[in-house]
Amino acid sequence: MKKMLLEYINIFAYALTGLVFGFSFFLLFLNFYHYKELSTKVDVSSEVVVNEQKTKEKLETIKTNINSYQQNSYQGRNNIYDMNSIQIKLNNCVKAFESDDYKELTSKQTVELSDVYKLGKFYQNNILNDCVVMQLNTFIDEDNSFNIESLKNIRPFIKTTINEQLSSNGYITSSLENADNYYFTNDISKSSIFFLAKDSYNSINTNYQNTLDLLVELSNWYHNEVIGG
Amino acid sequence: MKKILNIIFAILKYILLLGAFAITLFIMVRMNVRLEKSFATLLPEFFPFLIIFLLFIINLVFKQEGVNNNIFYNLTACIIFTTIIVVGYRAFADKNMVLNEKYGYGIDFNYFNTFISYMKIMLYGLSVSNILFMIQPAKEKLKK
Repeated sequence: MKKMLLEYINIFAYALTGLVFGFSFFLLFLNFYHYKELSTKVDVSSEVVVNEQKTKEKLETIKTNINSYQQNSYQGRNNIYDMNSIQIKLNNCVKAFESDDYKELTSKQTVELSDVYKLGKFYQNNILNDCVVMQLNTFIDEDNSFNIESLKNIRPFIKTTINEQLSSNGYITSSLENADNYYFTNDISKSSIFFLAKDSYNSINTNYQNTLDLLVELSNWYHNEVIGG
Repeated sequence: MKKILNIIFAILKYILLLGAFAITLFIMVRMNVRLEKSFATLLPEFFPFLIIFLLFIINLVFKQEGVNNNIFYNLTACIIFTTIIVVGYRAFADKNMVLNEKYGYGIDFNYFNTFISYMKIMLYGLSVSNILFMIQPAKEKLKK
């Protein structure tokens, strides 16, 4: 009886060691795989050229529109303080797109997951917070906004666009943060992580272009106010 | 050949145990400092390490062949400690971990925190199997 018990203990000990062996082996190689997956480089050279071209054209349009206003020569009906203020706000937004950090982040020909995350965080901090919230949000504030008649007409458009942009980036950066941990995943989530860098890169760049489009629209409106107002 | 491999794994497991303990201690102390908690709250987390360390000492002192000559057990111990070291190393050295970038602490606590429970499972499993293998010499005596 004692001998049989010892035999069972022996079997149980080997079974337990085998289980722990399998578990640790799985975790070890999962980590190697995870490391390899996170450090995958995505070639974005074709997107970089297209985005650079689009950004350059849009920034040129915005700057031309902004510079059409000169305080000394302005003879329009609008308050010059409002016009000055709008010019400063649009200029501040342009500065974020012309910063060295932005150029460095967007000029990379190949990107890793961490590069995409940095691009997303730059958009969050410098474009959404500093430009959209701090500068453009005043256009939709009815109580403290500018005393320009035509602004009422475009206010719903600005409001909808800003709200869309504020909600779009958080989901992307959260997905990138979740890529740090993925134990016991299934094939679907594994494949989604695999394409996460490329998909997120394109989504973040779309967000950049959407903000630029909004700035172009606002600068066009501003230009019309300068020449027609 | 088997004997040489066993000796290598048997020696390696002590070195790797120290490495795994050191890297875990380093990360957990940094984690506690960030949370402004006292060191005493950390002690339960190191219980599995303490148990396995005591068991290894017992194995050495009492020359328990059931454990010391068990190549499978020694190999498993080496893999477990290697896994802990690899995960700990990645927590502060893998710069592709985006939360490392986000919080700027130099260590991805979130990643390591997820691993703590797995680490405990492996260490407790190793401890229990060590105790069970200790009974082996008694079995050998019975045979004689």
